[in-house]
Amino acid sequence: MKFTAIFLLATCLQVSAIGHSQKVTLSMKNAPLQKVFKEINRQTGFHFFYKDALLQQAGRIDIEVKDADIEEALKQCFIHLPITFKVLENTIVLKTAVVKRTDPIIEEVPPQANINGTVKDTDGKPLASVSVSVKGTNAGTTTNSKGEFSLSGIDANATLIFSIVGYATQTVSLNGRNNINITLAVDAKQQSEIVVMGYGTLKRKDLTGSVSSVNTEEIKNTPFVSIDQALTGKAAGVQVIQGDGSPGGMAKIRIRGGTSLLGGNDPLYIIDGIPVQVQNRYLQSAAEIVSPVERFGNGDVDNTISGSFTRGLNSLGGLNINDIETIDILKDASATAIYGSRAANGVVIITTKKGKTDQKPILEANYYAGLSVPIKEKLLNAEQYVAIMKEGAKNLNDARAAANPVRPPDALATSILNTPGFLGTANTDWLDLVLRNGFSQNADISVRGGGMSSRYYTSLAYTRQNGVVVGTDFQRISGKVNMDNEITNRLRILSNMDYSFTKNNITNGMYTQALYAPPTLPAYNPDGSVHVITAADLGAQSYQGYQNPLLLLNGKNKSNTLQLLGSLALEYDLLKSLKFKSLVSVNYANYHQDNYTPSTVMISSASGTQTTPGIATQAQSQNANVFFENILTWDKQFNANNRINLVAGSSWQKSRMNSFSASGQGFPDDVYLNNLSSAALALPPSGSSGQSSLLSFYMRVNYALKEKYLFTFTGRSDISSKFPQNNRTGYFPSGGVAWRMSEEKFLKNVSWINELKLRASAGYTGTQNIADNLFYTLYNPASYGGTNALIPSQLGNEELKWETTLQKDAGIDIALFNSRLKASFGLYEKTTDGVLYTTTVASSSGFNSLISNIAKIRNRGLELDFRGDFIRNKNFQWTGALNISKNRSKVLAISNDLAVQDNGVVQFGNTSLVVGQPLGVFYGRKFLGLLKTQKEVDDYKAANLLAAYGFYPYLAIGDPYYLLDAPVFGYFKDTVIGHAEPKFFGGFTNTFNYKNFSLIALLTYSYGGDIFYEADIQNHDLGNRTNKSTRILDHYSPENPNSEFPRILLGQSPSVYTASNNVYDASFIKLKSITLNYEFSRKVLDKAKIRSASIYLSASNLFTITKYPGPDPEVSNDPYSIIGGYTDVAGYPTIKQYNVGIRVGF
Amino acid sequence: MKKLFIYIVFATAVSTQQSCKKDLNALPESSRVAESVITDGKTAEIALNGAYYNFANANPRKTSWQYHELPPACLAGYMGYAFGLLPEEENMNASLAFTDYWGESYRLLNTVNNALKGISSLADGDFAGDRKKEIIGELHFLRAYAHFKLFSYYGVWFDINSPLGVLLRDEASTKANISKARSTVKDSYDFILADLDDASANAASARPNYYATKWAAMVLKMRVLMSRGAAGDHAEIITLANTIIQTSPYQLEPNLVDIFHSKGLASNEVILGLKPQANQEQDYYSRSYQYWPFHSAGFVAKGALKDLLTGDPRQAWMIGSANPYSAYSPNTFFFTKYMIENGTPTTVSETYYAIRLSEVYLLRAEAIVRSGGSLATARTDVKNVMSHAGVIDFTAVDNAGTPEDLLLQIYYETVRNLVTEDGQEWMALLRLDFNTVKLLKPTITKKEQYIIPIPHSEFVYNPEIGDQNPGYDK
Repeated sequence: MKFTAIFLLATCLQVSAIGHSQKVTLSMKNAPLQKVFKEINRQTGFHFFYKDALLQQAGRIDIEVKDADIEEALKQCFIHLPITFKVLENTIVLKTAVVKRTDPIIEEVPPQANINGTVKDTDGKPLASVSVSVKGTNAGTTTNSKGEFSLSGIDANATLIFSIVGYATQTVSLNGRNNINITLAVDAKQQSEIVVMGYGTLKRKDLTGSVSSVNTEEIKNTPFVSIDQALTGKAAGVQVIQGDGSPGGMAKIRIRGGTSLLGGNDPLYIIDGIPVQVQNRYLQSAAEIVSPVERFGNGDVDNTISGSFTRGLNSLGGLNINDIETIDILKDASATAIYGSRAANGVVIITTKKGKTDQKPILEANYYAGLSVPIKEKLLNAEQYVAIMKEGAKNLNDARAAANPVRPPDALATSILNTPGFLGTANTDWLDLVLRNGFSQNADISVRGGGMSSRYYTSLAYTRQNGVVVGTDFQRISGKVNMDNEITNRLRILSNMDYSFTKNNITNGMYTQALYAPPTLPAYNPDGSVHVITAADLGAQSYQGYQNPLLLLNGKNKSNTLQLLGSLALEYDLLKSLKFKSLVSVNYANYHQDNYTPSTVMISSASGTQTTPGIATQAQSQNANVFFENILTWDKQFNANNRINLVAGSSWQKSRMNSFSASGQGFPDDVYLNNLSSAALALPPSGSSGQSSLLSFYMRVNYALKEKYLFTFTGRSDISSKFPQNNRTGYFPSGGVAWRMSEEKFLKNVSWINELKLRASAGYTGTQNIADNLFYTLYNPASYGGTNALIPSQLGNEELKWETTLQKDAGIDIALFNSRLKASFGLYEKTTDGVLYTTTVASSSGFNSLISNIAKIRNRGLELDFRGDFIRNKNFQWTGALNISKNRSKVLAISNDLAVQDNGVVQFGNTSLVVGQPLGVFYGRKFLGLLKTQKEVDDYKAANLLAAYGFYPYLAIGDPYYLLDAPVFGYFKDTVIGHAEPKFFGGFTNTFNYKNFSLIALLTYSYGGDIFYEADIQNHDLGNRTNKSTRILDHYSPENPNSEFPRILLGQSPSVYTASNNVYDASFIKLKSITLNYEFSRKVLDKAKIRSASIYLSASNLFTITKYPGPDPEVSNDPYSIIGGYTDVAGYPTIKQYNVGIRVGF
Repeated sequence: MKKLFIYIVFATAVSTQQSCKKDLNALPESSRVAESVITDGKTAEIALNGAYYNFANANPRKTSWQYHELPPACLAGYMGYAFGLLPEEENMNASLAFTDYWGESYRLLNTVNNALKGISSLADGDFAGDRKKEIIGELHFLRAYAHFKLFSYYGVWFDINSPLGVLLRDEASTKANISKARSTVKDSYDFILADLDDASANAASARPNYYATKWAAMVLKMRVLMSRGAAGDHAEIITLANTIIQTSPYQLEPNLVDIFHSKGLASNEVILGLKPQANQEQDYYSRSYQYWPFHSAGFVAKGALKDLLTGDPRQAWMIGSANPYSAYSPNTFFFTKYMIENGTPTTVSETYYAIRLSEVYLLRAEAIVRSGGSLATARTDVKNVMSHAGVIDFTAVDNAGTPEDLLLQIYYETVRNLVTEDGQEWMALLRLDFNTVKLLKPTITKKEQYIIPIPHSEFVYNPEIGDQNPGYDK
């Protein structure tokens, strides 16, 4: 009999395995068994085989099962009946049970037990809120804050299931034990699936929107000093371009394209819950230096110092990467709309580390030292320079001899040809004098831990990075103090403070000057003083601003920034599922700027350039943003099919700023006594102050139906002081839906599909990153007749309103093969309407323009993200993450008046806004090639207006020619000559682990975008005798007829400012960063009594594959703008960085 | 507990709402909102000074009044560009290079109107004595000045029946009120004269001479009446001139050159001038440097002016050596009325003159002649003015036996005396008989050339304005 029972059981199990997919749902009360069987037959097709007598004995039953296996359902049917069953194919055979009271397996009433125990994590810390359920029953409980649980009256042989988000679920069979102590291990995979959203967190599977998370493990040892650089290539749809190589300098970040013409286009950063807006803090100094590069384009030439500050000062420079726990990038409206009016450019949520309760203090220390090497221009050496000048001189005299009437040889050319050493006898490597290999080092230390009800994290970091241009550097002291306290089991007080002191020494253009200083001129005079290079030495005009770079060495361009992000929050659990949080936070920045332009330096002036007796400017600004927020979170699981997460809150933000600047002129010496008090003449000071405020209400609902259908609704209203009362309130609703197809019946059992989710969302966001008070008609102070006056400075626009962005998003998320292969595809369209821009008004109003909502810009794009867990052996693992993004912007409209006035083209320096074209359009003259035949020369000469005025007296074969608007006028025709927007871009991260080694390599790439190589314009001709890049060696000559570089003629410059032959394809693939890490083994560590230790080597920018002729195609002259910022002005060389570091944990 | 929580939330919500409202409505701190520019007597003075700032077309570095002094002299044929011909010199009014009274005058009008609005809401008690009335008077003077300047160049001022008057602005600009039609010529005169009546009656009688007084208002009224030339206008001009000459504190400068080369605003003759901004003389692109040695731009006296000054002691100090760029601009000379050759700019060389007493005498003389008065009396006024310039030979004036001849002589003296000040040489030319005008300035062939076209952009951005001046495209 025993054998029969075992046999039966075995068959049952087997059958149930086969019939596993047959699910039954029954809900019947006092039903005869026949009726139950009929229903089961209807649902599953199974037939029943039994003797009638069996059922007569059985009577009626109550049954309640849902989606149960047939075996389970039958067990429930017969739970109180002496009936056993056997499933054979699709037939169920019933038999009277053989009851053997002595057999413990089939005891009628299982023994009851009272169970208790504790749940801890691998660090031995108790885990609260772990769900403990009894398998196969509805019984269950959760652990308390000490990790304890108890269950009473359950089957002594039951199986318990322990589960909590972020940890691997564990199943434990009681086997008669009544005390269970278990340890749950962190499920790394699951943990990364938690996404930090605005005002809360969500499981990634519950997302309806598009959110990219950056794995901080991948960036922690990279040689990037600031977080913006570290985001490069890490997320689809996020374009990151380093401004230049300034130490600690800023990167241009665009999430799904830019939307604002007046305001900044950086995403909103939420650092530990505090909004941080990237801004250019530079305060105008009293002296600017002319940029000889920008003189040759259409940009602002007087911006060497301000441009260097724009690229070198980084609002995010104060954040230490090692303090960061998570980075989540919110891209679509369903994710960002909760940040309403500041979210149109995307939101980056950065959360820093916290301590853990009941954890012994852990001390971690990290140190690295590094070397940065400039990626520099290749310039002519003295010998090459002289050879080129001589060739140009000879060509000039030949051309003069060939002219009709014959012109006598040019005296200067003759001297260059015949007088040895005429151009100077020195052999100066100017780049060598202004560049260096920069040494950098970083040390940081953190301690974290926690007691019964408190936890803390504190850190301190010191970073110093010497720039590759002499005199430039970046220093940072930063850290944080975090303390969370549980006052009662319902009340928690959380406090956090992130602080940083940063100091930048910014270049004043030494590198740019060094590109043009002739190598034949000495750096110093014999007496040791700096040799002055005059415009005449170069055959140039003084307004072009060339000077000896070493004169700039005594200049001072310093900034000190203190930034504090502090918050104090109170969290109270009103109900188990309802939490209230009240938060006061502050974002405070104090910025001090110190500029000194020495007396020997030529500065820009009304007449071009001039030297003055030294000008010093000191300026200071303070920004204090105070936030007060109240948030309610309701997280409720109603039943297995209905789950809701609701966040509602209000926020009040008040921002105050004030700044002042004072300048003085005339100092006793350039090195020591150049504090303001030493100035002979005080220059007019300036100052300003102001405030803005924002009152917001917001709500987000996430609803999950049957774990398959997900809905998100978000709404925010923002009331901003930046808009007139009638338009002050903006509403930003959004909605998203997602369908987890993989949870559907037809896919649930496809074992290789782990997740298949379709999602779509749409919603509105806005921007208000604009100046305050634009809607007022304003009067500014002035002076006339020696007394005060108030004069109109701005015409208000009482109709000013929000820029609103309608964003639509659709995507698919896939996880296959045990989630080892994941992919995500996304499509979006972002249309920004009412983009604020300067609008012309009739000048009979007394004004020329006002700011109004006139432009319309659209961004459309495609994002692909692949992640693979390719190899997962014991000793070797390889994972990879590849992302590809494509963004197409289009200016749909600018106001009609611009169309009337300027043919729809609005020019800004070297780029333009053109209706119907993408952002970042280069607009200028079109280079058609070099003149190759005499006929071409004659035709061009006849058609060219300037040639008619005698501008090109020697025009001949080998000279460049450009598109003319001939025959109408004969002047150069301006057209679109390039597009800065890449066709696609992205990054590819590979991580290899071999035993204790890990190697992380990041490749980034961009394809199809152009860059304007402004610094190269002067390398095409000998218009003046500045030094040139080595590319000029390849110029046109009868022996080298296929060159695109024109022939060279001393003193002649046939090139024309912004033209297409200086617009280059900036496509590239580069090894952006690579890190090799070695983790010491447990054995070694235990001996040394340390918890963890690793050493690492890392490098950035090791190689770049590109056709771009300049040093680096990845540069931006203005990281804030979407109109401009696509020009290589050679303000500061980009760098390669090599680091070696060690991490130790105790 | 729950109840307590609700109370707390409610109380917090109410109190934040209140404090929020205050902050959301906070006014800017570094500027004043237009409506609150004037809050008391002191700020009224500051607003008024702002209007003068615009009157002087000033920026923080300098006053900039070259549109007032150069284009009329170019149109009349006495001044020119140093490196070629300006369209102004050839009366090619459709494409003037250098003339833009439009933006400048309307800036002044907007500032004035905003100040008038602000001041009207204050009580008289906020001011000492009659200062409120005086300020309003000064503002009315400035408004009349701007309107008359616009009217003289963009309106058909010489035809009282024309609908093409000036676009009058009598309220501070807002986005909503920008669109507006131009008024008729008659309405334009009436509006301007009404402002001047108030200014003549109520403006202060003594102010530093870079601010307007009732005397300045009277002279301006003389100019306006002279342009209109309706019945009774000339008589009123004579009455006004008599009042000014007999009761005002101004005296003709004994030696004209002293005004321009040494005294500037300190001269007793200057009724209204422009005070240079601090350090204005150091500006690289100062007006002085554009007369000598030409920084960026250069302006020169033409042969016609030199010829007109032949035998006149003024030639010695007003006309310098030949323009070194004569290849581009033949028969032109450094103009040394303000800036002497090889000199350095000074506050005096940077001073501009809007109204001087000499003009009052010349206008009186003209009004006497035009109203059929005694030519001898008129001659006395002209000779009086000339003698203060050091002239001793009055043959031409004495020989002018007919009204036409004498008007021509008055015109010549207006040129010699007032050239490159505030456009009086040009307006005086246009008041002559059309045939004489054509003879004196042969590039004028049509009366349409008396005025210039309203800027094209005005029609684009203010379509309500109405018609363009005859002979020009919109």
